[in-house]
Amino acid sequence: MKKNTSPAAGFIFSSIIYAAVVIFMAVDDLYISLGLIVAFAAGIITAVKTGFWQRALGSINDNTGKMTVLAGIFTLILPLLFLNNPYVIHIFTLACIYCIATLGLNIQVGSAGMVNFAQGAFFGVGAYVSALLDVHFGFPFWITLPAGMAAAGIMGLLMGLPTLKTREYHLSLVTIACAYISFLLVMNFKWTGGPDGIPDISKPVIFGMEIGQKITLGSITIPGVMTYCYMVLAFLALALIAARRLQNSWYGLAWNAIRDDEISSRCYGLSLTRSKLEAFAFGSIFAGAAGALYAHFIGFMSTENMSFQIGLLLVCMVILGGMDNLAGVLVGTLLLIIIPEKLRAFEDYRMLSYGLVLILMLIFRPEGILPSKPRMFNLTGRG
Amino acid sequence: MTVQHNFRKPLLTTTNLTMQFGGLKALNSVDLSINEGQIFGLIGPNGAGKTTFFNMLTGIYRPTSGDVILDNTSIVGKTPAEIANAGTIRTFQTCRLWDNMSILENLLLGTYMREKPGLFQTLFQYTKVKTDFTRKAEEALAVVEKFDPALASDYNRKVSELSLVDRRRVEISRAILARPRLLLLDEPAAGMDPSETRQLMGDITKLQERYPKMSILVIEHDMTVISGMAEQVAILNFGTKIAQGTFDEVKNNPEVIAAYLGGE
Amino acid sequence: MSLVFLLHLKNSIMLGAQYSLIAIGFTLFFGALNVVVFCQGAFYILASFIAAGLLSLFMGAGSFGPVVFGCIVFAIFFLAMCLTGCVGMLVERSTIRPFRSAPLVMPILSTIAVGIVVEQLLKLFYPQGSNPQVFPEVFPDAGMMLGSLYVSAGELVILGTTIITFTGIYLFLSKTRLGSHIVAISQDFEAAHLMGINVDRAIYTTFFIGASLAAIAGFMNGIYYTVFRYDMGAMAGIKGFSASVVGGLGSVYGAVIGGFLMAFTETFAAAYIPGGSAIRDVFSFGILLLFLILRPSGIIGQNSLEKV
Ligand SMILES: Nc1ncnc2c1ncn2[C@@H]1O[C@H](COP(=O)(O)OP(=O)(O)OP(=O)(O)O)[C@@H](O)[C@H]1O
Ligand SMILES: [Mg+2]
Repeated sequence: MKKNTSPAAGFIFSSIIYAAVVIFMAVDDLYISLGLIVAFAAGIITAVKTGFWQRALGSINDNTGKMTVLAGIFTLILPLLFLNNPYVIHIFTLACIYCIATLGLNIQVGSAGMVNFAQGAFFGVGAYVSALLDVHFGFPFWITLPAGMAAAGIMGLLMGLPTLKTREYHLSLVTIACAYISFLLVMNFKWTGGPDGIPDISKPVIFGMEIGQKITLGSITIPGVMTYCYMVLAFLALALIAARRLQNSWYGLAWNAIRDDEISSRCYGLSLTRSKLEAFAFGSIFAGAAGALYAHFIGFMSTENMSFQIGLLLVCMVILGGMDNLAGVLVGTLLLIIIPEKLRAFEDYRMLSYGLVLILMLIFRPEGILPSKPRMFNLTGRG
Repeated sequence: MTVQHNFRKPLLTTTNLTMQFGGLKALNSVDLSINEGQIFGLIGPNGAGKTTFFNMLTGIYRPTSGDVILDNTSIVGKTPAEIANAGTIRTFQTCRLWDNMSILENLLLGTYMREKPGLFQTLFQYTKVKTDFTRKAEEALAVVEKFDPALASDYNRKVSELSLVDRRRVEISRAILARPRLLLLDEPAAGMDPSETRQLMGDITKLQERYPKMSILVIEHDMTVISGMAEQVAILNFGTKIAQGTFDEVKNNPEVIAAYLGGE
Repeated sequence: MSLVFLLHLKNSIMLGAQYSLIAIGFTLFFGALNVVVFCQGAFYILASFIAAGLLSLFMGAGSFGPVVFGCIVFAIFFLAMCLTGCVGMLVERSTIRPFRSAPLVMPILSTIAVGIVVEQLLKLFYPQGSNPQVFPEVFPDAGMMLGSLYVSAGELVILGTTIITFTGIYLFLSKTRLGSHIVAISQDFEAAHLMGINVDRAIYTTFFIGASLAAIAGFMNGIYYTVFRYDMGAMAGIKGFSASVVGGLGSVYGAVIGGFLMAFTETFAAAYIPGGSAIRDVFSFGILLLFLILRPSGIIGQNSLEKV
């Protein structure tokens, strides 16, 4: 368990991946995109075959600190590379918003082993509460956002109640039922705008500056989406820190324990009720934040964005990336947002490919792209 | 070689403890009393109801009738978590570790019931969590080291990769880290060879010396295994307690010989 | 009783029959393998497509005498049912068996994914698949009056089929060797295996039957409502699963009771609560949540103790 791998392999690996992602995002042409996907797949297979993949991942694992800084720098630079292409920044921002939601979902699905299909509903609760407070009462974003998060958290607790006596299938069924119920209610209430949704949601304002406004600095124009993107990145960073601390704490240990063996857990004084409710509440707070960020980003919210399908998609992202592995969750989310966006021409086949990818993943790599690992402790003077 | 501790007060008492599974009476009116600091052996053939007895004591099943008194309070109807908090910790016959977690994670969770950083500290003062983990991890490794130093140096290993014997060692260490007042061991030596069994029994006896107030109730299939360590043994057969006493008293009881030793 | 009330009653019986049939499938799968097959709804809608497709092909082929016509229609339904049953066995082999000893999350997700795939295949590759489909009218435009209530020939067929199917399932499980094997497996998988029961064959049979029952429910849906769409399966499946949970997962009687209970609640709440019809599903899911909070083992199910 000693840190003896040099960061070089990880550094090269991350740079290659980063370059690949940037190129992929920059490409507009459908066939080139397809070609790139094939090339990446081939590259990954070669990397795995030659052992470079494993070396690189090992090196990344052993140098988490340095690699986190590197990833942070890469991410901060990314929007700047697309100054002339606001659409790419738009997609990237969306992906980051969904990342916040999947980080929350990972608490339930990955850490606590409860497959929750209602994360889309909590996303919706956050979005609707924030949007309604903004549109009807004119509250600023900095009040509506926490309100949306709180509302989602409370809804999460409420949904937690019927899951307390249930496990596995019954639990998933509860979340499916809740997803449909919230969808139908929002769709049919008058004050939620019903099927028309809520238009004209305002943008956040910081120090008198509206985020999401175009800025002109001499000859350079910074697209409005850029500032919003950086704000979302700030939130994503906070979400990531919170998720990481929760995961590497007594909370995370308890969630893993109830996932692995409920009876054993109870015999060591863990309260299933408490752990499950905490997992639901914390997870939905993330979703609520993501929802609010989404609503104010797009400026419009409708039930389409909180349907059961969204919840299903979020679950797919977590599974694809790797349950209980935060980096994996981010990777899964980015992939499932960006690739379909590039392959818009095959829009009709999107759901079909989600289904097929999910089946293939479950059969051939159930642990996801980046599998979870036990928490690595480094105790000085041991090992 | 057994020492009498008659001056000690009883920690656990069961009265008329009965468990009915449909038409099967798995336990039939069992009375048992275990003193503080005692090592007590519970023996009986397959299906005698030994594990069921543990399940009653830990709140996993609710007894059909009868009472379980731990330290002057009845624990019937309490949840397993409450009972664990009251000081009863068990191991499982089939060794129930948290399989996708590492040795150290399993051991740390043994200390779950102790004081630990809360939500605020987790989110805003994370260093406190770290120091807490480090302190408890050191303690945990010190415990498991007594059983097997190799386990302590390989602490980041997943427990599902361990051999059965090592899994049992981790499970017992985990139980000890919970600082139980009553430790229930369900066939701790199952699957071990004679020398490993002897070593384990020695370790358990040493435990008792280190934590003299802790009572230990050991289930064993084979009564010779605990002959050297248990102060008292009780024999179950078809859910009924047929004898109790020191090993020497029990071993000559004709009913025991007929029901249990007779078969061997 | 007013005519409106009777109409709602008829509606809920028609719906309840469908829910019950789907729910029995869930219960059988769960009994046999301890898995919930979330793609039951896909079997339901797949069967509707197969039957409707074959029927319209046949009806476009010319005119026949009433007896020949009736026999061929029956044969088509039977064929569609068997095909769906075979798809059920295929699903078991490909996406459930690989996960027999895996964490339960796996089959939950894999069967949901199968549901999506079937639904999308129908949508994309069936002619006009994304549009609502019309179920051919195969029963004569006749009927009978029950008091003031008109019951059409198709509805009588649905009623008859329901009763025959329920009886058939009961007889199969209690009187045949294969049926008793299925029951034995659901009681104790390991013991059944040790007793020399051909477990795989019994499980295939279970999947064939379960999927066939969903298929029958799909036909009923087509006959009664005459219009169906590729995406109706998911909801029907989830309702059927809910019904089996409300009734007590693992119990065939429970599935029947649960199915009708859900259908009655849904229909009458939608009819008599103002603004209720738009949110009718909220009521049936509400019943489900109530049960899961107050009586998670369902109406018939007992609380079983996990062996430790
Ligand atoms: N949850 C349960 N439901 C039904 N019967 C049970 C249950 N748990 C135990 N039994 C039955 O109760 C009886 C006693 O079982 P128990 O596990 O307590 O025996 P044991 O003494 O621990 O045996 P072994 O030495 O094999 O571990 C057995 O006949 C068993 O089948
Ligand atoms: Mg036992």
